[in-house]
Amino acid sequence: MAQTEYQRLTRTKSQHGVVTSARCSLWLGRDHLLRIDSSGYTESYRRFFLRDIQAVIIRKTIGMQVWTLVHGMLALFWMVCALNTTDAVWMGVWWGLTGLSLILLIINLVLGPCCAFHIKTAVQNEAIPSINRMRKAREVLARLKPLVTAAQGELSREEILARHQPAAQVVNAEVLTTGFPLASEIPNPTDTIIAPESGSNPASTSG
Amino acid sequence: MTEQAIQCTKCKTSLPSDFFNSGLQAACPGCGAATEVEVFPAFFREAARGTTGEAVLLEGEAGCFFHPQKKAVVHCDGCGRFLCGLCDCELHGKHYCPGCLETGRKKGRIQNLENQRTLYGGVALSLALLPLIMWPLTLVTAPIAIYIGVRYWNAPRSIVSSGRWASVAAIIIATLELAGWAALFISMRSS
Repeated sequence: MAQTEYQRLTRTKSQHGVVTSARCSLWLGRDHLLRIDSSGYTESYRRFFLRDIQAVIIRKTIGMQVWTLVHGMLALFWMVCALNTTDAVWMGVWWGLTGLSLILLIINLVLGPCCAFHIKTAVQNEAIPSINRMRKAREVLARLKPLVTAAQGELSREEILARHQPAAQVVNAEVLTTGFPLASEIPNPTDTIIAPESGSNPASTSG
Repeated sequence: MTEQAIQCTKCKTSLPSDFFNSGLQAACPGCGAATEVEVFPAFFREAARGTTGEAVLLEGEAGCFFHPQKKAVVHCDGCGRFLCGLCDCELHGKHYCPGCLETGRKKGRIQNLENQRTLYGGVALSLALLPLIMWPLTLVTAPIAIYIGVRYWNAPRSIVSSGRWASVAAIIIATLELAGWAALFISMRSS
């Protein structure tokens, strides 16, 4: 049954951190992760099979600082408004808004630093917008790691470091061993086309 | 080398291997963003190569349904047709021909191929609720909401929750709206 097949990993969140119609959530299936983007009328699905996940990348962002600043400024603004009014009703409104902004500020601070969570497979590097706090990201990663390990096997950090040779290093190594070709050694394509048998083609004479 | 480099998700700079599986955040050499990378064995796995199918060499050997000159290597789990290596589409240990795969995707028989669903319950509920802001519209939208709620009662719902609460709520609210209209017409007629 579909209801029991998936376990919720993250709650539904707006994709861009504001109130929009597009909402995203992450679910754990038997052998895959399911990202659901919902508009309320349609749902679109993206699956990340545990055996295909190559890496998880978590990058800290400045979201918490930005929201702290926004809520702090708003709280300050409402407070100034409340202090500058004599009307009891408006004073109540301004103090209410001040309280609301302070509550949001505290919630933001309690939730902790923000982050961007990406899942990399061989063909995609997909962001998961529903994971936007470091704490949640670590929680999800801790839950995923044993499942991915069960699907793919385990490699120690030393093995990973030993096996990983970035392409750039390989290119550098090749350049060091063979050296850069000199400009005079590079064949001129027009020579090759015009006089292929004349012997003036560096490509054909070089060996 | 089959694996690609892992790039910073902000500046696309290739991250050095010191970042991998350390459990700590390190500053990206390109943009300085604190980044943590967890790498799994699939990163080092060779990409599977597709096959083109072997030609039939011996008389009497079974050929592919779609390419009779190619040797059949497996049968389709959907329709039973013989398939060559080229036509064989493997999905979670099962083998399908391209036709069955396409049919399974269109008809929702293979759930893992489904990438979109319409939530008819949500549509019906919106049609029942949103026009309340301009209530005269409910005379038109309430019957539509009921129609959608009933017509798509058995349509696939959200992949993660199979409840029909939205359709039920839409039908109840739309029925109440129509009852309200009926009461209004009756009272106008009697007065």
